[in-house]
Amino acid sequence: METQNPPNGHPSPEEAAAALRETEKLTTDVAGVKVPAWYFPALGAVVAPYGLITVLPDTPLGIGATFAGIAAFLAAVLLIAHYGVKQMGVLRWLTWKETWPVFVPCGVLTVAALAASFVIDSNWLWVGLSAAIGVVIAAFGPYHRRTSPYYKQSDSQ
Amino acid sequence: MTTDPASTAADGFNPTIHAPNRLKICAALYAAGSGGQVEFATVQDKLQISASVLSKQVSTLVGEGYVHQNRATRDHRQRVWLSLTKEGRAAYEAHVAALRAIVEG
Repeated sequence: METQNPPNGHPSPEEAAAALRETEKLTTDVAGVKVPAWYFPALGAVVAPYGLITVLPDTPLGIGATFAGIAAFLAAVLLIAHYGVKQMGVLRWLTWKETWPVFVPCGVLTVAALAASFVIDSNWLWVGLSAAIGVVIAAFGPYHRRTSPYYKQSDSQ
Repeated sequence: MTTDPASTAADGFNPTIHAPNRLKICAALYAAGSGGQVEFATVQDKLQISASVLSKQVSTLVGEGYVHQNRATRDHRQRVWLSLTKEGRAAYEAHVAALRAIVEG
């Protein structure tokens, strides 16, 4: 005799399909929560001046300012991350597919600066590097919000 | 008696996860990826259920070792962040695979 309901409390194929549709929608919804528009520009603005600590004088005041600068930088990054995640309600680590457009240019810039440091004997090189990396990070924000496949899936629903 | 093809899809089928709200909770947390977390209020909003219902279902999943709760007090309010444990992710993935097998017959 053909059974109407599968054994062991398993759903029917139709019920299983409905359950899968629900889970897919939810997964897309949550993964599609966008990083706030201010997040990457704020991060870029904090990173950009970081290189200035390399041109501070080797005086007690300069050394104190260096440590203060590093502490301020770390505090600012943590605060940005904290408020960004709090606003989103989701902490999702971005994938390599989403983030290579920021990591690859930053890597290229860093390698270029390292190579240039053999020729240019100036700490202003690192000031320029951090400023350039700051710009890349800031620019990544709008690019990411426009191109992330997770956001596109969510927008299309 | 015919052999029900769905019974061969039983591997990985998880009755604990399959309850409607618990399946949705796992789906929402799965979206945050490995190491990710979703705030309790966000899960509640996405699932459109009351806090008490969500809390009860989360407790069941925590009891099974599938979900981890991270409580933090901010601005004098307690915020709860939820995440799938390693076992929870594996169980959810196996359950989804079992559901797909049922659909595909």
